[in-house]
Amino acid sequence: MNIELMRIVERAVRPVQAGQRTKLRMREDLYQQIDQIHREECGTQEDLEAALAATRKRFGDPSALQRELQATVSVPEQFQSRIDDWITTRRPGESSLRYAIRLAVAVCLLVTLAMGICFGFCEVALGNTRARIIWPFLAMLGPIFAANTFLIVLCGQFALRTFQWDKRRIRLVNRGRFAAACTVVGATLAISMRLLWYFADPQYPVGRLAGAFPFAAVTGIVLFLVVLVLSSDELEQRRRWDSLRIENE
Amino acid sequence: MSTQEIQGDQLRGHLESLILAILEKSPSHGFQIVKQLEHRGEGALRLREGTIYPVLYRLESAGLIRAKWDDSEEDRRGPRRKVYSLTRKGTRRLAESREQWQQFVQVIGGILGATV
Repeated sequence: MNIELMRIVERAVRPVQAGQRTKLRMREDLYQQIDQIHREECGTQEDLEAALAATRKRFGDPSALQRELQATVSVPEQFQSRIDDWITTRRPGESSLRYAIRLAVAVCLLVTLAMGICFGFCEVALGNTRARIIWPFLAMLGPIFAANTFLIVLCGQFALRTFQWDKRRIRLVNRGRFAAACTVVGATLAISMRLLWYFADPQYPVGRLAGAFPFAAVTGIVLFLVVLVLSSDELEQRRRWDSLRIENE
Repeated sequence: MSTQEIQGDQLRGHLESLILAILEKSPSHGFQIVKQLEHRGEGALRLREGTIYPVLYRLESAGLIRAKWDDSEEDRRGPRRKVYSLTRKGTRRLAESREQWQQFVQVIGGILGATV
């Protein structure tokens, strides 16, 4: 792909408030249009610079195009994308570590808040004090989910680098690293399950759950694989566009 | 009398109907739609080619056109392209647009005293 043409498209698309899939579609559609314009101009202009200038002129002003693209995005999608940008989407230029920490903190806050509301509802509205018995379990859900999120996101970013995107296909190039990432994810989930069970009931004999921990590990690995394979193509495309530096940023 | 170029806001208001009319002839991808508009407009239509896509997105979300990837061009150079085609709803909308345009031309033309 031609970096200059990508920059022209990205100037129009990056500021658009829309879901990531919508923006990827916009980028792909606009890129194939500008690519064809450029090929035509290369056949008629004196040199590449003149061809690029003619291409820009034919394609149109990116800021005007950005406003027209924005008008095609529904209000609910704009609202959802703001929430996603704030919480779950990796920002351009953000390191894997920072992204994992930000996501882990968000998960911890959300889970703790949800558990706090449930606990408070039981105590105050229902007058049920039996929930106090499991308060250590409820209190630890947030931090444990946060730790899981942190490790899984890091492993996911690590595993994505073991894929190579080649034209329209994605292929795995480093099986060892990919297997290592999956193993860490499985171990994380198994340990989390053990910890949660301990906080729920410290007296419960762990031996009775011996089969559950490998099951949690295998299930975690399978889910991780499925999500990674399904999203790797999209994530790689997003990375290519997000890594572009465009003027006036 | 020389032909003046039609562009900008003059063109924008009718672009949806024009695209439906292009697609009525045959399914096309974005680049072909622009070429057809310029050809059938006999050089008088000038639009910024990127701006065709917001219109295509509106038409698609309104169910007037559908898009699918052109798999017949596996070996061609360059990125893959989407082909747009008219739906039944789009055909009905085009017929309505033609009737409205006829009425518009008659009314406005009558007031302006322009020959048709």
